[in-house]
Amino acid sequence: MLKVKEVLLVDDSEGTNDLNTLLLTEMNVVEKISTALNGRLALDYLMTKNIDGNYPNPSLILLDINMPVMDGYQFLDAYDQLDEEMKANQIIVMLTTSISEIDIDKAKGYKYIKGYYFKPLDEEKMNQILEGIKEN
Amino acid sequence: MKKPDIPYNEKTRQAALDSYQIVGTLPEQIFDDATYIASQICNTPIALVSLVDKDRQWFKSKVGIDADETHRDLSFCGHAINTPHQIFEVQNTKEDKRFSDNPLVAGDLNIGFYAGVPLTNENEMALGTLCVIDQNPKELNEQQKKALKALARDVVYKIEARKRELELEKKSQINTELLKKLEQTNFRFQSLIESAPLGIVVTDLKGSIIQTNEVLENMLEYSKEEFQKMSVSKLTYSADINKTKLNMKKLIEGKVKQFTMEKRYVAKDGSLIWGRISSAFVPDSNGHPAYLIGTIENINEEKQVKQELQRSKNFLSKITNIIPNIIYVFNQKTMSNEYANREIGATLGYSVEEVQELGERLMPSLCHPDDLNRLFEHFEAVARLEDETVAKIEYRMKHKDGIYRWLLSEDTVFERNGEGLVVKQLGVATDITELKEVQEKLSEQTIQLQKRNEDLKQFTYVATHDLKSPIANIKGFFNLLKKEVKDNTPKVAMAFKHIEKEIQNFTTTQEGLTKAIKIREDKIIADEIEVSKLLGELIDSAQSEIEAINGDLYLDMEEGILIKTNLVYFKSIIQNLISNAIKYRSPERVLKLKIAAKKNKNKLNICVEDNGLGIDLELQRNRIFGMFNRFHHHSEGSGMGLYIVKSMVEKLNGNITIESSVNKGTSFQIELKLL
Repeated sequence: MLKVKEVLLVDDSEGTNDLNTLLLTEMNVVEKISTALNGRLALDYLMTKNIDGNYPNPSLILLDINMPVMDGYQFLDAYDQLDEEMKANQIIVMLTTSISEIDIDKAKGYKYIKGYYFKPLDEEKMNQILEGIKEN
Repeated sequence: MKKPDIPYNEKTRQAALDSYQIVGTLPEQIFDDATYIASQICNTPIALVSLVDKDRQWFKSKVGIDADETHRDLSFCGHAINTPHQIFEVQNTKEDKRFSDNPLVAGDLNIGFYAGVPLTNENEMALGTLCVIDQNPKELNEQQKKALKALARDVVYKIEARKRELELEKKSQINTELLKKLEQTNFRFQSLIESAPLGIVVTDLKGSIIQTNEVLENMLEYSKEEFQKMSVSKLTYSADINKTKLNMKKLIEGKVKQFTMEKRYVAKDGSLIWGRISSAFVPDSNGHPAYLIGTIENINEEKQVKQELQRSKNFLSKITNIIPNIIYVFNQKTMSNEYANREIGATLGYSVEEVQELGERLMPSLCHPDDLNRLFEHFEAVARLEDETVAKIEYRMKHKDGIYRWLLSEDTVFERNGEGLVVKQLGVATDITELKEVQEKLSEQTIQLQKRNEDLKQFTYVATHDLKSPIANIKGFFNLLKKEVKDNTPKVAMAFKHIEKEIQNFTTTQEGLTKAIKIREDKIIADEIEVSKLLGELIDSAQSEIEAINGDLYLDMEEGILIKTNLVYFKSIIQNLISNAIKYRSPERVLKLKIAAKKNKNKLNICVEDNGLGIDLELQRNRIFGMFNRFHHHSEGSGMGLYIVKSMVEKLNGNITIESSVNKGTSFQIELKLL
């Protein structure tokens, strides 16, 4: 199975991040897993070049909505302004606890968002997401 | 003796004699001259101008006798007149059978000779004779006869002349009398005209002025003379000339006997004067119009007053019809509107006339049955009002379209009768239907809101309380699990760590929620607090924590300021802010925390200022005091902290604001009422 190079987990709950990291690791579908505790930190990460002089450019971003400092939507607004090379070939998937958190119309406005899922993430949902990456 | 024959035309002759009005008059010199000359020429002692009048002969002039008259039967002249153009001569009376036994002959007079020439006028009437008489018989020669005839002609001439003179005199007398009468009439007429209390003008049929009186002269300021050079047209204002001419024409043509019109006259100075003229024609002797006479009343003031009144009316009407409320005058006796402005149409759909027509049925037919009693009570209240005070009522009236409108009427006393009782009221009615609808909606919404609120309270109560028990159980069984599971793989350890943390999170959040709800429900008991003392105490109790992090916490305020507020909440607020400042201090520097308080009019301003991490207000300003918001990366709190602080401040009727700068620090300002 094709391995995804990098996934960025953006969630303020360490528990959620640990859980998802465990899942991805067990499924063995990702080479590298990064985490950010809020939107601001996620942006900083995407805008910072690696040691080899490239932007991280994770193929998948799992985005929580309710986060301090900069929440999911605020992140998306700022993400729009990023240079292309920082966000090439990325898809973003929204992770949320309930449907009521999502403003579907608002979400439709962002072309990078490929879908939304409810927590907790499991193998089945993860496979669906990976399919989406492949199509991309 | 022979009596004289009566001439066949005696009647006419007598009438002719009468017409001369000479018989019985005094002697006149001209006739006496004639008889004198006659007696001289004929050489007789007696000469007479004798007029044969009915049954006598009467002497206008006599020479030689005393008598004034004799009986006709005895007269010679009576015979003489039967031959109007011939001289009648009796040369010897005693030898004439006709006269021999005549008393005048036989008696004292002893007439012996008579010669008379008839006095005959041009109509052949022998009036009498010019005769000469002698006692002795005589004979006249031709010259004497000629002379006598001539004299006789002369006497006739004189008699005629005398008649003409008399007639002339009479005519003159009549004329004089007529003239006098005319003068009197004229005088009376003039006086009438002059003394009339109205202006009077007399014109000919063309309109040229013949006469005016003083009243008119004063009214239009022309003199009599100036008027007489003018015509009616010149005096009339141009706009009224046509109508004037029309009326005059009708008058002259006899279509009307008189007319009255109001018109404007142009006075000497050019100003316009309104006058009311009544005009008739003065007929000539044939009854045809000869002159026009008019009486003119100065109605200028009247007109001005009328115009002023009209202007006032128009002004009032305009005002009352512009005002977007109904203005009315309601008569309590007749239970009807005496006046209503046009707005009544816009509000109730009825025209002013239709409302008047409704009369006393106005209220019963239009007022909502449920409001009718209150309306009548309102009328009674108005009847008890003092002047210039107002009574109000809200009530419904049916629009013409059948739908009821809510009106607010404000009434005041308008008119009282002789006994001081209220007869009429003046009112203004405003359509408050929309207002009422809004009010109703509002109360509906309020009810709904209250219900929602109740529901919400229920939900929150359930959410907080019914969650407690499951959590407690989870905690319990988790502890059990921890004890039982000896085999702690890294995964298991990680799982345990996370579960414990999440249970804690849950509990903290739930507690925060519970607290927030409690704050909302609490009843506040206020205590009187001396602020500096209390703050001092709070700072003291925080000192150990502060010292542990090498921080600095101090108070800046003066003593003696008292506040009435809830002790528990006040303490809680300050403690929360202090612990926030400690929690979110900057790792790069020592925490400096200042609490300052000062009095500002009737408010207490408290400022809690730190030099910690700060908050990005650009991003977060709207969510700062919201629920479940955390602003820092390593947040441990439930995110309820500031929400709860805000709730408590607002429960104390104060407010809280924040200023902050990332990596510089944060300051909270709290404003509380002192009393």
